[in-house]
Amino acid sequence: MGIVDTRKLVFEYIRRDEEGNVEGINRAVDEVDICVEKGEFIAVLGHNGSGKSTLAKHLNAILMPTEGTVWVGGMDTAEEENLWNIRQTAGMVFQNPDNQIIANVVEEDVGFGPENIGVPTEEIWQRVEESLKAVGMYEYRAHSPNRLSGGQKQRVAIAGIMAMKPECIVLDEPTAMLDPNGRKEVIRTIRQLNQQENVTIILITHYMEEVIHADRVIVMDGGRVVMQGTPREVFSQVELLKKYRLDVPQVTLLAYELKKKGLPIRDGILSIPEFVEEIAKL
Amino acid sequence: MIRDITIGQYYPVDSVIHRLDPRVKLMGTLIYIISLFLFKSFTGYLVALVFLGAVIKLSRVPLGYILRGLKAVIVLLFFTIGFNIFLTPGQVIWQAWVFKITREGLRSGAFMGIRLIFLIVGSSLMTFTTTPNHLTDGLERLLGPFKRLHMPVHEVSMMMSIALRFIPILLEETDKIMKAQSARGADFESGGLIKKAKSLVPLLVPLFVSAFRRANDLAMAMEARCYRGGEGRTKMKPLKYGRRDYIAYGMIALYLGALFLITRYLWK
Amino acid sequence: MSIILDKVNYEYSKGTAYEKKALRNINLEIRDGEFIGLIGHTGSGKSTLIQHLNGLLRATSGAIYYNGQDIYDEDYKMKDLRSKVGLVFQYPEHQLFETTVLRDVKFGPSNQGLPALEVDLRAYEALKQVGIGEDMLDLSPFELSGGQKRRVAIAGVLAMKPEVLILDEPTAGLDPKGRDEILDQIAKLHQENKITVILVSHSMEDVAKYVSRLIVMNRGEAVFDGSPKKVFRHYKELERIGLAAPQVTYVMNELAERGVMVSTDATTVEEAGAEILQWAKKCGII
Repeated sequence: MGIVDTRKLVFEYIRRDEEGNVEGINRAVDEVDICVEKGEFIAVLGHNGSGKSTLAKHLNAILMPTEGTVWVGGMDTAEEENLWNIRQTAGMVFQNPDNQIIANVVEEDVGFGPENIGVPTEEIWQRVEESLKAVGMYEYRAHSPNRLSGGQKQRVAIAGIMAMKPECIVLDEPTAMLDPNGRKEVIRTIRQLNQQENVTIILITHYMEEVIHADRVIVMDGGRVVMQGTPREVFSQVELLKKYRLDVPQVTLLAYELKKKGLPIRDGILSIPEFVEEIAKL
Repeated sequence: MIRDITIGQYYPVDSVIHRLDPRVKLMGTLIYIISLFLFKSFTGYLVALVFLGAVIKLSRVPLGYILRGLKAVIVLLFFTIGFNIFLTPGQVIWQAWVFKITREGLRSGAFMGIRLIFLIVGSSLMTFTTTPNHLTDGLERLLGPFKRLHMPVHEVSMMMSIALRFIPILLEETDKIMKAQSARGADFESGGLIKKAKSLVPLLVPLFVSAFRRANDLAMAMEARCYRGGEGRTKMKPLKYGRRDYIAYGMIALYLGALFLITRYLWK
Repeated sequence: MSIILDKVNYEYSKGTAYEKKALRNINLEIRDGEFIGLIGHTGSGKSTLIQHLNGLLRATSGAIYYNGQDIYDEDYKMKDLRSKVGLVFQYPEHQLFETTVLRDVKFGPSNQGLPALEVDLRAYEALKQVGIGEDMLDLSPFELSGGQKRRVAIAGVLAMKPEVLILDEPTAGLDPKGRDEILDQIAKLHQENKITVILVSHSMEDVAKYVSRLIVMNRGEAVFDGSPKKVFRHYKELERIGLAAPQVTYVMNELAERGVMVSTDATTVEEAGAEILQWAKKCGII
């Protein structure tokens, strides 16, 4: 069993009219089976409304499955006594950097999680220092979050989760509201945590450039998992991705188009050096 | 305009007063305010002035900056003094039409004015020297005993600190929405009261929607970080009295003692 | 017919400790019917600049002329300028406030003091232009999806029939398909209605595909101004100021460095593809 497992996970939103009668049922997540091993870097891709964020909220027990089961660290999320252990095992970073920072000073915000789970004062300080250093925000520890850039705020939010020593971090579109520099900062930080601290990462996004370093990519559409594989495997299927309202990095698209026109190059090119190498070989 | 209000803002310098435990400052301010109403003589005010002056000096907050805070309450100040001067019965020294000034009125007007100024300066000094976080921490601890009476002390202080965090964000947002609606031809300035009130709808609705969305997000983020109320929480920065704080309490006691002695026995 | 900026400077909080020069000596001419991309990272001054174009911010020094008229003239009507230069802010869906989609879109034109019938017509037309179907007109704007809300908000500005349409990051937070839809609709508006469009963005990839002129801002200055091809030739300088040219620019430059005889001017995938194919044919690879 992995760190995160879902078995036939279904989640339905019930829409009601003004009188409270059921108008319809939206199946946001539809029989999803995923298994994430400890230390993996998983990216979940999908357009807005594909169910990827709904899936993410199950991994932190914010939502409970309508049908099926979710296990986090071997604990069933439907059992209430597991709730706080689950949230400690799988931390969650959200989209809007402003709406998840609670305190008025960076270090106090990072200490918020440990305070909640009753960590002794001295250890809180130690954890805060370690986490802020891990995301490269230690020198900003005494700053007000209001003066930070979007990317920096997200790194503080990640440090806040790290301070709770989770085994897995779920990031729900952490870069959607950031500019390109902020996006790079956050992705670099996530990769570092994955490689150096061996934290399992589940990254929800719709930016293709962010997933090329993932161990595995899961593509969702209409609440279902429709593609799964290494970034190379997934990105070699350009047409299919387009059908799911996604696009691929420009080099990948360029290589794909050239191959279609008859140039003998391989599938699923992900980076500029790879592409240049492939063309120069001809 | 909002930027001009200095009352309630933190003034970031390092001083003995800044480093005091917030509980000392809260208690000190409360005692000081009460003390202002315990006497009715100029000598008493002199003692209160000396004490206040000493604290201001120690706090290293510029006097001009503190006095600027009075500007915001100047109307209130005038009203209070005016009411006292004109409406206190007693020995008339000046009269015109229905207005008359009495000796007693002048006296109580002056007292009220001084009291009010001392009160405002004294309490704003507390906010100048204490970060909002410290203030809420201090309040939470001071009100701690009320928890047993099922008063939501922790929740209230958490609410205050979240409010403080989101005030600047919402102010910025207000500015943004105002600009966006102005770009659609909205007019927030001209027209009578009713028209003005109506013109606020395009500003207030989006602002409320946004505030609710933020509140919703924040609640989710807090729960995801295992927040479940004050029960079982530890503190990253627990409040602890130091030598400095005991000395400060001593000073406050000394002030009260001096006030009592001087107004009662020395110059009655 | 044009907007001319003459030595425009703007300082925040002048005379206080927070003083900051947000615009430095901006000289620009924006001609009728242009499709301009305005690029710069956060804090480069691009948002400040566009707020000058419809008078929301007033330059600390310098002059702005709209169709030859000085907008800072005492008898110039700022309100008219605001209906000629439509400004769509970032996350415009956050400004929706009415009870129905239609009423919200009517807010702008009714502020212009137009007759009710004209207001209705314009609202219908604008909603059609952004692809909001008639079945949605009576819904509450808050019931719509994120992408739909954004389009309604854009329609709210379009309904004022601006001659110049400025959009600040209109695709922020949208997924790739949503992004393409909005950008395609804007391009169509530009072509069919002949309005001037200024697209503020930090994505070079998005902008390169659509605009004919790029203005790059850095620290309050307009550092590059020209066709995308011309601007992307400076891709190394762009990188130094925290921006990046589209991936294909890097691809073509690196290919050229490796001795592959291709022109480095391609700014879109299509152009790059055509260029490489041509090279391949010349070399007899295919």
